[in-house]
Amino acid sequence: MFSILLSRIGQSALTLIAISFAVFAAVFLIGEPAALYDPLVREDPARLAALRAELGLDNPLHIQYARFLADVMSGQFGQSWVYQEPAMKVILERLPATLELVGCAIAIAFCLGYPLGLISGLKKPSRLSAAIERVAVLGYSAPTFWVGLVLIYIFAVGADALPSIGRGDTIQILGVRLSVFTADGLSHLILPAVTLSLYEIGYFTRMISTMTEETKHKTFISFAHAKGLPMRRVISNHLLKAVSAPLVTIVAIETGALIAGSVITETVFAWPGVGKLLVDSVAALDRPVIVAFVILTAMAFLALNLLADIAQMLMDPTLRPKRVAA
Amino acid sequence: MLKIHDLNLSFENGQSSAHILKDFNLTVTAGEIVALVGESGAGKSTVGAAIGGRLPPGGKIMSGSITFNGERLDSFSPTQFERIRGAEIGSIFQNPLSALNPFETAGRQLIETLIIRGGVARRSARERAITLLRRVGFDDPEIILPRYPHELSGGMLQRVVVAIALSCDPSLIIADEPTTALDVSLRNGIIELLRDAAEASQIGVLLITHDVSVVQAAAHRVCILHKGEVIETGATSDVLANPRHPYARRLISSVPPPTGKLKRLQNPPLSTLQPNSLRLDRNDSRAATGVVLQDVSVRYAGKRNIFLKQTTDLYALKNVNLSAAPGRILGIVGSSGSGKTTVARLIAGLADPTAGRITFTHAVEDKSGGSANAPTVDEAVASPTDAPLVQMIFQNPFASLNPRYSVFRQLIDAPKKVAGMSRADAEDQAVTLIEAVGLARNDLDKYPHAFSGGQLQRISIARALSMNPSLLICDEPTSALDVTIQAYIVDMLKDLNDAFGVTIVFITHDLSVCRHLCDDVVVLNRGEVCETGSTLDVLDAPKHRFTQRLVLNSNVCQRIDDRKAQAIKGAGSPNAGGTDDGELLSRIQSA
Amino acid sequence: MTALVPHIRAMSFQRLAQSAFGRWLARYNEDRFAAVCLSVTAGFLVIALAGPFFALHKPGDLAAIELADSMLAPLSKSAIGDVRYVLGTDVLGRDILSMAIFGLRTSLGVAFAATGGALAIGCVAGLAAAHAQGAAAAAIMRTVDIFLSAPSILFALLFISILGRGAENTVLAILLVQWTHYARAMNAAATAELKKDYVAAARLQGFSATDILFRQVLPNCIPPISVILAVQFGFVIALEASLSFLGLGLPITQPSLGGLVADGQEYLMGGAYWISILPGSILLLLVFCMNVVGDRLRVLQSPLSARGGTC
Repeated sequence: MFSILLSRIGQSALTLIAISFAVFAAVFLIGEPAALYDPLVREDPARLAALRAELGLDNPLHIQYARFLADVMSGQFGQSWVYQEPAMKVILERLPATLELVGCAIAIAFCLGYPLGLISGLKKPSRLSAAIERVAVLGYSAPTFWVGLVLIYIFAVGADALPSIGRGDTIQILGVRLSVFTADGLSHLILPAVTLSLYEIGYFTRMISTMTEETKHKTFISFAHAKGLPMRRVISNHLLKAVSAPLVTIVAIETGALIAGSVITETVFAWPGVGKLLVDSVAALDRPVIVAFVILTAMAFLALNLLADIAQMLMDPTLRPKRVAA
Repeated sequence: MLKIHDLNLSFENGQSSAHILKDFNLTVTAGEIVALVGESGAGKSTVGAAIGGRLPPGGKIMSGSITFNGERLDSFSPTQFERIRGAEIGSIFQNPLSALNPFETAGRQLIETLIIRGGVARRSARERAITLLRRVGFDDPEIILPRYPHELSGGMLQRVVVAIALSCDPSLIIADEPTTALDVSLRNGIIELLRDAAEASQIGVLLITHDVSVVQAAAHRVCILHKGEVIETGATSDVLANPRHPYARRLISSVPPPTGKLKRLQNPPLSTLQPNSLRLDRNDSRAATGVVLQDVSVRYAGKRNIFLKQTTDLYALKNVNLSAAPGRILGIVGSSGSGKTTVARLIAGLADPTAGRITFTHAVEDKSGGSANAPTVDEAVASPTDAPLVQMIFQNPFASLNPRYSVFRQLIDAPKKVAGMSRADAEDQAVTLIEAVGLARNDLDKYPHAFSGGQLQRISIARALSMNPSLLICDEPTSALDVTIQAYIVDMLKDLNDAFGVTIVFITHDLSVCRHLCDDVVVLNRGEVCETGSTLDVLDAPKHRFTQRLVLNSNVCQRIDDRKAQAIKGAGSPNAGGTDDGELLSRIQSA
Repeated sequence: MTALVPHIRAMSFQRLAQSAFGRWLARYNEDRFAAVCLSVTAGFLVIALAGPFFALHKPGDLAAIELADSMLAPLSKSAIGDVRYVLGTDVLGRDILSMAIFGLRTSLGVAFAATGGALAIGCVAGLAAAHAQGAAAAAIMRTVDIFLSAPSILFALLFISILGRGAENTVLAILLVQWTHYARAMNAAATAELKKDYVAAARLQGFSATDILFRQVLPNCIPPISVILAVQFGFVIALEASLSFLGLGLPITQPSLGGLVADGQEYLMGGAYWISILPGSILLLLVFCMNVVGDRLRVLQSPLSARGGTC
């Protein structure tokens, strides 16, 4: 088991290196690398030449890549052109807001999607389950930005009950500023979180419904019935266990996917997170921030995938190495 | 104790309804094993489902009654079924690996039944479980309890399933094909468990199976089901010795007898293969083709242990020497994992050996009239101008044909495109072939999904013959089929061999089929050749230890009586060394 | 002669109905909800193709716009007194319905172009990788896995930051993101089919490798690919809309549904919901219908439905 873990970590590291090389190629080979710095410098040829020498751009490629890699590992991505601050700092400042939003959205999606999916899967085929499924499809077909605007229209414009822009008051917990624990923060958080979660509610419901339906037809469920277990026990002990193992992986991966969805939601609600930062950076072509974002996101996804694999290995006995060669 | 009287059952699916069981009658008394025999689709599993209240949606009892210990099961509600399931009716399913929850340990699944259904107190449940496991033949039950299903072998798992079935002291056990998924050597153990349960605890057993030899070994009475109707019933020995109904006679005669060697299994012959059926002219100088494997090995790289820098190598085949003489039928037998399929793929050219040589041989026609048997001419495989000489029939009939093309297309494609036959010739040949394998002309326009397994396998044979092969490899072609279809195909292959001189390599795990079909046999075990020779020599007088074990295990009746005699003499428990279970157990104990 | 026309038409309908496609369509239509969704999708295509002839305002045609008719709610009276703006007008008096039709054209155009290219590249790559089975194949599939492990929009944004903005670059960016879906689906399907016995039988019969790939394996890969295609087509429409909404997709000069929604956002707070919400509803409907169609396709090809019932 240990060796499997090591090999997975090794694979992730290799993938990260491959991605870093791809980014290096994209940024340093396609574009003018000196453009990584202050645009004002670019206009002055003398300063540009001096900067190029200073940056070591006259060095052979592999040395440049090595320096790039070293910089990445120590977290230096250069200065953001827009904010005139280290790119890493810019990103880290906004990360808690996004994590808070994503966390709430996943929680909502899971709490709604799990029971709905379970009921739908158990009751298939029936009108109820068909209805639940159709609504779920509607949920993940709706464009996120549209959902946000509809919610704003209903609650902010129509009912004037909830704010439509920005983040509310925050309090500091363990060094991180969170807004979910303040009333004002909560009122600002509701609409964006619901918007972001809608896609996932639909997705979870469908996924769990399908998994439940497949599992309930499996032979070991019939056998559990046949050996005399009451329905409640069959569902709680046998069916749910079978469904939960792959579920953990799905939740982990979807959490990552939500970081993407947050790009749109944060733009609609002007939520000060990394998603909005990314959009602004792409619009302004703020390369240092984009590069930093890519590398950090890649690391985050690789870590999430690794965690998902580990969780699955823990929960699914068939994936663990056998104790006896059978 | 169980009495089914004039039961009529049908399945309704929207508009259509199928009458599955017609005026079905069956009784099981305490301590008696009643076998319900029939081929696939006859309705046997439906009977088990109806008794256990497990009818799928759409299943309806039209008339008749199911009486169990005085209660009418046919009018039971789901809650009433919950009361008797497990406690009074135990169940054994076909595939133990899928019957058990893969996420729970075997022990917990047994203990769960004891506590919830058997009313056993939590504290004493573990002890009861251990006693039960001992009763089903485990020497060291403590090892089994914490193991997950995928860590145990099929035979061990089925014993656990039997333990679960017995756990609440039921008065009836419904065993639905309990031995079908197991190797022959493990089959006997389960049969013996059922016999013990019936005799010692006076439990009635309804044994649902399609395997006539299991009936012979295990059942007191037998009931034969054909298309939903009981066509014959009575004491096992009576029915099997003197079947009256024509289908019953066909069924029983289709089972290859364990001794002797028949010319054909079914009389009259059903296949109509004639020498002029095939249009392709084979080069006359290649009248018959054989194949020789010399020192052939197939090696896989095993798991690599990075830390110890070792690679354990796995051998699918190790230094195998075997040959199929031209114009004869060679059988390759062995249990699963012995390398039989690898041999098939090597001969077909679908895989290459990592060591050794494969050569094709021809019998040279003796100018004086007879034909020399010793191969004298070695020729390379398939020179570009010749039609392929090797064709193959595969184990899974459902994957053997391309689902998107009609049968007709698949019979004429290769002759036309590869062999250059004219369209008219190819079409004529297709018609002749489809009728020769016992199907109708208008079956040609249908698609594979419209056919049953046996029909698909016959179409595969027709397709193989369309290229006029000189060597035909059959990789367990009948393992998934009913016994009457199996007999049909075995006879057809014999006719092929007689009429055309096609060399046949027939791979199987069923020794009795091998006995009647094959001229020579090779016995494989774990990639190595144990024994070769003519079929009757090897099977009647086996020399190698493994062959002896194989022959002994496949001979069910004798084996059961032997074991009983041994048990009386106090010679040891059912899984003392020698069987695969025993080896596995000893490995667990030493791990 | 004219009497024959209905006869000929009836004959060709009959032929169509009895053909393989006709029978498949009949089976598809057994689920009426899915049938409706398929018709709606077809309807959208028709509107996109024929709509410009009926649209009130064409983009760039400033003469037809009445400033007096600005900011009208749907189905309200225009300055002249008639009801002509079914979906209302924007701040300049442009008919929302017309803009939506042209936006639909653009969105569908981008979706077809990107999906078509992605399908071609992805299928070839997936098929080649399944056949070749070497180190290069493994490398391709690893790349595919990496692309598929993170959400598409992130990659799309990344590509746009490298390529720059504009219509062609948007199509290209989406294409580069999407080909991986088809590559993986095709690879999985082809690898599974190549293991099946009928492929081995075809090899033994003497067919060449290309023959086997294209005539035996490929036709059997179409059903799973068609499911992915339906779902991904809807996804591409949503992706392009999202990019245009963010201002990073199609330029403002080219009308797109996402862009319309973005333009209307500032008027939302004032109560003029129709500028944003209605074009967005069209998107919702289109993507929803494609998802339902994709689901129906998936159900149709599962083996249970092919044989229907127990054995």
